[in-house]
Amino acid sequence: MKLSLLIQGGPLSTSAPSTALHFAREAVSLGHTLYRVFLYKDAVYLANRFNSAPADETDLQSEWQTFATDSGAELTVCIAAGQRRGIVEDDIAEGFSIVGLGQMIEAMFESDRTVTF
Amino acid sequence: MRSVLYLVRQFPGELANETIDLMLVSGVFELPTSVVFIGNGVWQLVGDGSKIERKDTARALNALPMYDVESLYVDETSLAVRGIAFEDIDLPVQAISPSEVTQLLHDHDVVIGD
Repeated sequence: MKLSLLIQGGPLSTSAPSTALHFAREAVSLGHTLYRVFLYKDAVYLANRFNSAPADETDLQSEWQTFATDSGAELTVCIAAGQRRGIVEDDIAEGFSIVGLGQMIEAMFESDRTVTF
Repeated sequence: MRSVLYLVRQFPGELANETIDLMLVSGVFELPTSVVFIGNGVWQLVGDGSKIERKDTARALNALPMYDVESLYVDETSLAVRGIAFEDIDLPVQAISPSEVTQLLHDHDVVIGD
């Protein structure tokens, strides 16, 4: 099955990006394909390249980057949600791409299932 | 074409406006789009955000029919428990029962929460 994920909860204030990562890993290990991951609302903070996780905590951003490289999933960040929060194209970490809201809508009709976190 | 149902459960605010943006883009892409206001999401249908120096959510919602998002519903139970009268809503929404909400969840291909 082709899946897309819409993540809206922030990485520090909610467990949404973390739960989504667990879901994504499990889905891929069961043979499903991840078409697109779309970061919206506070979830865009996950893609800020200036983030620096304390040494004894999980670096969620790098976990996502590793997952995307291994699985081929596309990690996208909403440009409008980013701008509202002071995150512009130059601030985006490697492996993430900045796109418009239309890419989320396209993912909805390209995927068999869209799951929100 | 896949149909999309937006489930609006949160109070008005910046995050609500971002959900409305997503609905508008759904409409522009001509996806059959429906919206259900439920729980605290019903507060988005009353009041005027500009009075507290906020963008008026109701005004943004009024733009939905222009973007071909015409199926707007409100859960009547959520209104009742908050003491909001349906007559106080100045938007073209239809009041539905919880079982009709369930039916809408079944009838749409994609359900997006806020």
